[in-house]
Amino acid sequence: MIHLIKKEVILQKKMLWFGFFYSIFLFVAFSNPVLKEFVYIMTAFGIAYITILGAIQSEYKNNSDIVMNSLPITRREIVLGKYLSVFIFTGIALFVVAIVGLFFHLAPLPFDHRLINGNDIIIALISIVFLASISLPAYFKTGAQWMRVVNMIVFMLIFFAPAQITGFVLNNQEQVWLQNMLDLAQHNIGLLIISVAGILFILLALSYRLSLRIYSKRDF
Amino acid sequence: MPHILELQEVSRSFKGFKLDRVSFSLLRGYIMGFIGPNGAGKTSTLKLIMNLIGRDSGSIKVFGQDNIIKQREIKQRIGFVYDENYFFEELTVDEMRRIIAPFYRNWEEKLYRKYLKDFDLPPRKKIKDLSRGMKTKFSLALALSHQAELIIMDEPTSGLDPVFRSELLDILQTEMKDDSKGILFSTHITSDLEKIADYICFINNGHIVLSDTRDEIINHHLLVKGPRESLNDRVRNLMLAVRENEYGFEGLTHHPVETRKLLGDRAVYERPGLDQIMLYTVRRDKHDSSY
Repeated sequence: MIHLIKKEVILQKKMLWFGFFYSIFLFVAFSNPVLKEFVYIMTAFGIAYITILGAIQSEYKNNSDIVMNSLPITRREIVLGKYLSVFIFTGIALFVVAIVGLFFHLAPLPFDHRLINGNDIIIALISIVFLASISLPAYFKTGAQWMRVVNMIVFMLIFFAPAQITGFVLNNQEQVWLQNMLDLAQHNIGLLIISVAGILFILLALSYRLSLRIYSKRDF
Repeated sequence: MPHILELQEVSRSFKGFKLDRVSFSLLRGYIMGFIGPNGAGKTSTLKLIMNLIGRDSGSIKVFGQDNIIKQREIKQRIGFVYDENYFFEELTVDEMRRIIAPFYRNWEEKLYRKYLKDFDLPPRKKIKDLSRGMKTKFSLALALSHQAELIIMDEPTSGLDPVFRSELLDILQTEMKDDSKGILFSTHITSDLEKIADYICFINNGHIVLSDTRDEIINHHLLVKGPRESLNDRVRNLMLAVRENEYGFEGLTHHPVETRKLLGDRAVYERPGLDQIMLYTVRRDKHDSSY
């Protein structure tokens, strides 16, 4: 398994350097008081997304599934390796933004950035895992081309969903169950995070099972 | 002697094409040429062996073990060279080696370095900048550097110049010196096999037409050239296929003794090459399927 992860990192070595400079650019661009709250999440999400998609596109372009499946590894390991690489790339992305953020925090610049915190890490991780859970089965089924379409749909969901949810909440304020949920979210943030993480874990597990099923039957 | 590779009644249907009850086997210590025209089913058969595509029925055993159930173990002992480059083009030769090598228990770095040197492969050059011949050499270097006992090659010589083709065949012959390996070599360039193949397996339209030693196959066929008037129905029935023109005919028979007896001095006889055997057999199959 470690060799599969190593493969992903070798493939995206240069992209990680790009991610480093990209994060410096975003830390400068997002230095106003509103945007700088989200800079860690957005930058980490961006780097992880670019590297995960980059590795996938490279495999698709070179039709390298043929080589990978000719090596002494099983299809289960290949699928599992891809899912694990999502966490590895997200981890690397978080590490990069944490270092860049530390630099901006300490450097005598006209603007300041706070240090990375737990919420940044959790939200970035949740966003990437959500995106990967939806798009990886599409990749294993059709390759990178359809994965891009699925990614776009998920992006649009992430983009438009908050406005829709806010509208729904405002129109249904009198509903008891909604008030209970809002109370819970406000007063018990820990439980909310555990619930979201639980739902996401189930989604990830289902996504992995589906990808495995698709990939095991695929012809190369 | 145990078979290093054994396919029994393997079938697989595709859209508009079927591999139908494919059976053949390869003994350790020998090179088998897997021949057939383009689209005959060579690549599909090799992909079935490598479990890159699934089979509908039949069995495939490599080193006496099922190729799906024991694929991890089996692939440790297989070296592969494909007709196209499926490596990551944007990586260098050395980066690709760093990806491939750790998967093999018996990777021999010294031997790999020796092949790189022998093949003039620059480790820092990107794969996309290598010529087609260099890519094949790189693929071969990887295939030969982990003590593979079965080497599967899909059209490794297609698109290569004669010098490198000859070089490749010499390398394969050297590899076979200790008799511990087996090579399955698919090609539609039959002249490559005249030099190195011990066995020939001929596939056409998804069916195995012939599978035997190269000498047996050649000895069982005879190329016959004669005047048109001697081509009567009895002679025609002995032929696999015949080409006629206004002066005479040329045909291939797999009944050499009877044909000689029937035609005597009225015809000229030649030992056919594998390309002629392939050509006439394909012609016969086309003729048969048109009825």
